[in-house]
Amino acid sequence: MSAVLTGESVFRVHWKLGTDVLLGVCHCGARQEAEDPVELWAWLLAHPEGHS
Amino acid sequence: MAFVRNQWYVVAYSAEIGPELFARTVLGEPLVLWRTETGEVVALADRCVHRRYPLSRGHLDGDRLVCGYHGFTYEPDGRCSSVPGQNRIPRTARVPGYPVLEQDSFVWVWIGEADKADPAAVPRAPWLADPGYATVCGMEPLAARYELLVDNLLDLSHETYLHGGYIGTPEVASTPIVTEVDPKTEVIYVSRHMDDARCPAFYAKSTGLTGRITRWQDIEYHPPCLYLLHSRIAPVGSAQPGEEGTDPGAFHVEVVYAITPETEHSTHDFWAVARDFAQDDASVSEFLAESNRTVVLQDVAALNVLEEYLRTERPGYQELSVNIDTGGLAGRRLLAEQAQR
Repeated sequence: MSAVLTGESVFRVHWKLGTDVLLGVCHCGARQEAEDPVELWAWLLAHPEGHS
Repeated sequence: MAFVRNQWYVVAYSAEIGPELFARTVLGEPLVLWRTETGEVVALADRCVHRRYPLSRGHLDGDRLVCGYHGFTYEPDGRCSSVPGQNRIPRTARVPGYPVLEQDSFVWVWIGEADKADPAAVPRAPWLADPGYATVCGMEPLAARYELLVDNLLDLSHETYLHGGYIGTPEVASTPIVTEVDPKTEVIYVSRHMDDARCPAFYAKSTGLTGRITRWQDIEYHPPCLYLLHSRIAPVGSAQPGEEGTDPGAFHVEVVYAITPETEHSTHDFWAVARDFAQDDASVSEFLAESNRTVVLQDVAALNVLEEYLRTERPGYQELSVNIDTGGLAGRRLLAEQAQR
């Protein structure tokens, strides 16, 4: 599904179809998979820490 | 959580405010509202400076509000212009006034620091005042903290269980979502696009569609108050929306909620449903109004129960969040940030 918000600071979480996996995509391009949305938001919002 | 004070909130529908006194509490502040003879809406603190009698129990004398207890009289800007039995008007005889504006059929009020009230910051729900759409609306009192309604509306998978037979079908709970957050513009967007779903009664009876449908639910939340659900319904196999914004093969319903805290444990639950089809069909309006109110009342009943139980929980109680809560968690974070500012 395509993104809707187009700002430069958008954090995005995709729930991967047919799985329990969430894919977090930071506005800096860093990506991280998780099965816990709390953990994934913590990682996203920690930008730039750990977003190499 | 503390209230988010420096934000705009819906206090009423424009149609609710006329040349009579109207009382409503927002963020714990009792307000009295009326429409002046020139048509402007006024919001003042609903307490007389004298003995705190509710000014909404008084009456209007032209554009002046006269307290129903001892006759203290106030101008629309809150200044006291008459005190009973004496000529001197004490310097402190003034009730606070609040910035208000009307937009998209709502009256918005700003409870926080008045110099921060930017009219351009009021989020839009243009369908509600668009002649191309037919709208039904209402407001239900909710005996629960507003955060519970935010949680509820940002996770529509509950439709399958709480609203089965109305708007819920199995596909809602089983279709993955995409959640987007823009911390700069403070918007949360949650998309759930069902490609091949059963048509729930809410849409079958209003659109006349009987077969399988594509059903898109796109939530756009402008915390803290305005929640928009862009709903697109079309028969399976219909053309996709055009790049220029046209979408003639689909039915569009804009479901709007304004979530306004009344007190720490109660909320004004404003709801509206605007549609771009069967605009002149009164039976469709009647059906959608009745159905949506039923759905809202199902949420109200559930959240009232939840509030009652949460108030008896020990501090620090644990919750468990799963994938369906991705949007709700984003909402909580943005609200917490707004409350800290």
